[in-house]
Amino acid sequence: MIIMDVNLNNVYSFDDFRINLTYPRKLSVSLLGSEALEGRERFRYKKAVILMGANAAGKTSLGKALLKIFSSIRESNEAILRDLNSEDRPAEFRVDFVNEGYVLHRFCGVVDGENVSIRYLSAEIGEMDSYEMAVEKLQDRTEEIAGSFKALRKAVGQMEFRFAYPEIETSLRLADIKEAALLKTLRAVIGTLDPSLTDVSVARDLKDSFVIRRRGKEIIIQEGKLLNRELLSSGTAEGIDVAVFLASMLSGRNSFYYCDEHFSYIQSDIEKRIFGLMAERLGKNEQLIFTTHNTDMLNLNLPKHAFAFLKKEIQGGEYKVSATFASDVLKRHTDSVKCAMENDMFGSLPDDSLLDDLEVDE
Amino acid sequence: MDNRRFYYLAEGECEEKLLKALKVRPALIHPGKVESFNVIQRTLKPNKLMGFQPGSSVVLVFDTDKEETAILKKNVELLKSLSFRVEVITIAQVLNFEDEIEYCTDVGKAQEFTRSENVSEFKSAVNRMRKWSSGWR
Repeated sequence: MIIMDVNLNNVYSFDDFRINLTYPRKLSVSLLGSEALEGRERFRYKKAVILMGANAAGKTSLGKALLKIFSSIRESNEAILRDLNSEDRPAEFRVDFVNEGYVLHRFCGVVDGENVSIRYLSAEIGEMDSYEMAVEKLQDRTEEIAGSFKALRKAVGQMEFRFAYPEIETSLRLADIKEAALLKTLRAVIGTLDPSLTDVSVARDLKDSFVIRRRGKEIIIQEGKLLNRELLSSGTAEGIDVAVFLASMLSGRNSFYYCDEHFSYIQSDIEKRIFGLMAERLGKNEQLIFTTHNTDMLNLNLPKHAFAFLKKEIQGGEYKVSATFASDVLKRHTDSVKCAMENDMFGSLPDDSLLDDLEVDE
Repeated sequence: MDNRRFYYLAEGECEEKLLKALKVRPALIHPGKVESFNVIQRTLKPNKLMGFQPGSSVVLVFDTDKEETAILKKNVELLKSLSFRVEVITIAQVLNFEDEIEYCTDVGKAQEFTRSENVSEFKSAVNRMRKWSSGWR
């Protein structure tokens, strides 16, 4: 699944918010490989996006909103959308995406308390079509689905995606991940984070369980739950979640990935390398959004359109969130994204003036 | 301080340890990240190349007695294609590591350096060394 464009109004902290995941011109060289729908070379999309922003800018909320929107289709359950709005006015969303085949889908919804009304449009993506050209061809099929999420799911097809948030992973979702891939990934990631943890094996007596051994002690991942977490450093414990996420990409069962701040305790170089492994594993027609606070990630050798910044600022007396891509501001290949961010060219640096009150008086 | 980034890709563990020592004492090479990666036999993959900052210098360290260079050429071309400020400098080692030790120290045989029985034990001893700089007194 590929997300092309997202519009959110009164959804969580988002008001009049848009993030577009297409880009206009083909690049001659990119380590991300082809960033176009396979078989439709002009239908370009941002394959891997590093999303940054100050605290409470909306990095996690964006992922949660997308998860609810797509889960409502996959589960055929409109109730999932019912808490999207933040105030006593309706929440509105519009998402353009491609799932199976060469069809652009547009899913719009208005959520007003218990009432959810939806619209659905679609268009065939022609061989020479760009995203913008496909949008022009969108046809309203709302009457065909008649408000039914089941009919919508049938129209869209089987959806595969994986979202990961630190505070939600109290248990690890091991379903649909190949055991051999997970074992290999656990060994590599955990061994990198803590070289003393070299013995990782499958627990034969328990279903979906692994054992990590160190100096006579055992750390057990049992049926998706990490036991003895206190025996691991914060980074290593986090590394297990990362390994599960990375292994899920190896299994090839999902095509859209949202990895939200899974590297808070992990050393910067390791985060960069694991992101590189994630990006390398993205197959055809797959997409990754990766949120982080680590500004070293801005030094990665990636196209400028791979870096996005959320900023929250007062407009008309209210806080509004907006998204800017490095490619919107930086036009030269030699421009440093990190330097531009540090010079606040994307407006994403936090306002720390309230901390002035804590200064020690002379 | 020269703010350029350097990445050294050494053919094997011995070369890796030597480079790590040389950048510290006697500081003969520019400081940089050193790792063992055989550019003759292995192709550089995107996940590793993403971490190479644009404008960096990439130094490939390998022996010149290699006959198969197709992969090396591919790696060099790939590095050059990524960013016009990436430099690829190949340092060709003329002698093998044991000969180099015999050449630049006063030992008769390289294994005397580590009091090893033979070349194989010498290489194992080098790889076990924690602080290579202690041998440069």
